[in-house]
Amino acid sequence: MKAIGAVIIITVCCLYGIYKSYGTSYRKNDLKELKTALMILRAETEYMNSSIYESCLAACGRVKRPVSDILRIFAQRIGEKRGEEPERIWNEVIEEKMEDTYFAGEDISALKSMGKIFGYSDDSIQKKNIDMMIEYINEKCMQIESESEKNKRMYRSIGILSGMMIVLVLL
Amino acid sequence: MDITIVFRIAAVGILVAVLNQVLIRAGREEQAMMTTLAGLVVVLFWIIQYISELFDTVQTLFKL
Repeated sequence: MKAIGAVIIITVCCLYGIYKSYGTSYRKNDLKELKTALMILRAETEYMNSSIYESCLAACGRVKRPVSDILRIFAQRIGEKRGEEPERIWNEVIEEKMEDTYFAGEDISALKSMGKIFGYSDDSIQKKNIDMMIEYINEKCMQIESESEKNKRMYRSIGILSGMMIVLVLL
Repeated sequence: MDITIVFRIAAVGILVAVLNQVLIRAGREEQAMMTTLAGLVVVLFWIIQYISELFDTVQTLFKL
């Protein structure tokens, strides 16, 4: 029985390590989707002179979940015209949907700070704000790429070793 | 004293040393130090009763 328990613990720890090692890839995918959405928002603002509501509706149909959900819910709530500030609605949506994404804390902070400009400034400042966010995403993607291989190996090793450590302590 | 405790301590030492190296190479020195400390605490927890026995023996031996 002890051997079976040990095998189960080590297997679970290994699998968790592997899951964590792919976490950065998932984050990168979410960031790329967000970048696509932002580029669509920028194009809508620049060439179509669309409002935030129209831009978000246009973008949400062309990107994958969970980014599309964030934009769709934000557009829906703006469309309800309850008199709330866009920044507050944006923050609420981000808070609600952050658990469905693989964004890190710093990504969430950057997204929230992007919401401060919504509804207050002209289109040139909106575009600059979107450009700044795209620049942030590019930088983070490059950082993730350079660190991903190292982190993958680290998480897998930690998974196996922590499993062995738990077994050793419990034996 | 059960001899298996020696092998268990050796195994913890090896595992903590490998974890330490992996974390240091990944640039996570703080976590590496915390792992080392955790290993130390676990081993101390195991051997504390033997240390207590040792002190008792020394006291008895020298009639303190």
